[in-house]
Amino acid sequence: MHLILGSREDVLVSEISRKLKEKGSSPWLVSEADLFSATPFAFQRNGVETGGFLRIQGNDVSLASLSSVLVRLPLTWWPGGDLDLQDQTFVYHETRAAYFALLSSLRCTVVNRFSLEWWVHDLTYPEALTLELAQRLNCEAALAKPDPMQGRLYPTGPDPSSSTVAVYLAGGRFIPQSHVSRSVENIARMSPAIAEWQSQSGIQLCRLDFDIAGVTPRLRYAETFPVMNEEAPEVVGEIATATLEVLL
Amino acid sequence: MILVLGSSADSVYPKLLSRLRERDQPFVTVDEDQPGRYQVESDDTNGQKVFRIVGDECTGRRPVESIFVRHAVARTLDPAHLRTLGHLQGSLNRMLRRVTCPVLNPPAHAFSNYSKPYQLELLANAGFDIPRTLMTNIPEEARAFWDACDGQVIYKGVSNVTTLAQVLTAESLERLRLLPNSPTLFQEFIRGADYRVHVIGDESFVTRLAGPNVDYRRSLLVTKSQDVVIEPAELPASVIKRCIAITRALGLVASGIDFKQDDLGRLVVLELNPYPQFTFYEGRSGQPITQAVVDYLIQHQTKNTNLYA
Repeated sequence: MHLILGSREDVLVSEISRKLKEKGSSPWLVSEADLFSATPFAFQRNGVETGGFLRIQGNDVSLASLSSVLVRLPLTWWPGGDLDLQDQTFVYHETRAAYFALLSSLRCTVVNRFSLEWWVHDLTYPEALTLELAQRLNCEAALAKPDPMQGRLYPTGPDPSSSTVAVYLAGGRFIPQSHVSRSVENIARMSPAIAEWQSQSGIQLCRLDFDIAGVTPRLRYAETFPVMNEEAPEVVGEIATATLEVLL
Repeated sequence: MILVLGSSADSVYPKLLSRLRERDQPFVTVDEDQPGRYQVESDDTNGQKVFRIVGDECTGRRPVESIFVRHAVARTLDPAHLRTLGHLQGSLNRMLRRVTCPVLNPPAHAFSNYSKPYQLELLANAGFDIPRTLMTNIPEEARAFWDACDGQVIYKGVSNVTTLAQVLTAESLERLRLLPNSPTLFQEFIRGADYRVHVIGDESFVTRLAGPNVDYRRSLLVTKSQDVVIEPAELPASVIKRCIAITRALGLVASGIDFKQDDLGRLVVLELNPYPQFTFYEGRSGQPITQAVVDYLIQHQTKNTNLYA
């Protein structure tokens, strides 16, 4: 059983759902708003043993029955209803902390298996992730100056600047955003170093932005939640296929 | 020189500074309650990133050889202050990820207690006995757990937002109807004394706490602590060894680990605090925990630093 946590409006979610259906497997699809505010669940732990279920569309889906989970949660949810601001804040943290623990406990494939730093919007996380990967790729990092006004992590689309090229990484495959991206394929093809980084970071799916203004490409950003709605359908299709190879 | 990052309004900060003065140890502080006073600058020198803190008594020129961190919490909702504090702490945290001197404790390694059930997973995998636990937003599941535990269940928050554990009594069962509003953590109730183990590097301090309430913090709040016994104690060497090992495995130098022990001697771990308020326990038990922190900061100073203040 496959579970997709994300929105139908997300082209990657929609493409992966379609491909799974083609293969005869209808995934459970739960949006962020539904997951965080309208999905009953239970999760038990007794020592190292765990168990539980998510109640999706009236069905108790056992956590043990899940063979893969695709996490495409933008983390923009905020509780509403009749709660006052203090209670909203409390419910917000309680809910995120609960789902992080639940997803973390799963033994099946989870793409991406985000760390707590991502879940709590640690603004130093993307920079650390990018630096770590640049070091493994033996290339320079060209970090953007942090925006002091930004209080949380936002998913981004590709940088439209002509000095930046993007390569998507899905499992062990590199998918250039355009023919220009091929100029950095040599770096992106350092598979063992990248695989090690993926294994350590839990990031199987991301977009790597390279600055190509200088003599050698420099890693600008590793986007762990690449927004693809502006991408060419064939690029999204390739990323979906490569992601499915990880999920299946 | 030692750098202390924290809040002058916090109880740990002044005590630590006082001990450093007693030891005649050079130190410099960043009082995060005055966030507008400081700036973190960086440059590349001979291919290495070098950081400089300037402002107040920080000149950005003296080498920092070890760091103590206990970030300030916002004590006001003033948006301008919150923005300045957020900016300073963000800059400090970026710096702390890349400094080459020892940090007690690195904020990037201190997230695990954001999610109590996640931390229980880490603790269970490390070999600790943990209470049987349910996390749910379904009233019927909570009720079934209560029945399965013979009505001996406590409940508390899932995240690190402060909540005090309470016993789920037969009378309070009707409140389970509120569960769909927010997931809640339920655990088998371990009746007995509390233990706090403070780990500082390779050192440890065991403190026993016994009070009339389920959560000793409730007793402290209600009665201003007079009826809570807080005293030095001992736990088996194997437990202490495991406390030191999990602290190190999480990338931390110091921790405060909470246990409950029932009358039959079963010792279960409840949580691990990466920024324990050790001065409180020290004040009541007489254990020299601040001294151990200062000793660690002095003994682990390095000349190989890329931070100046």
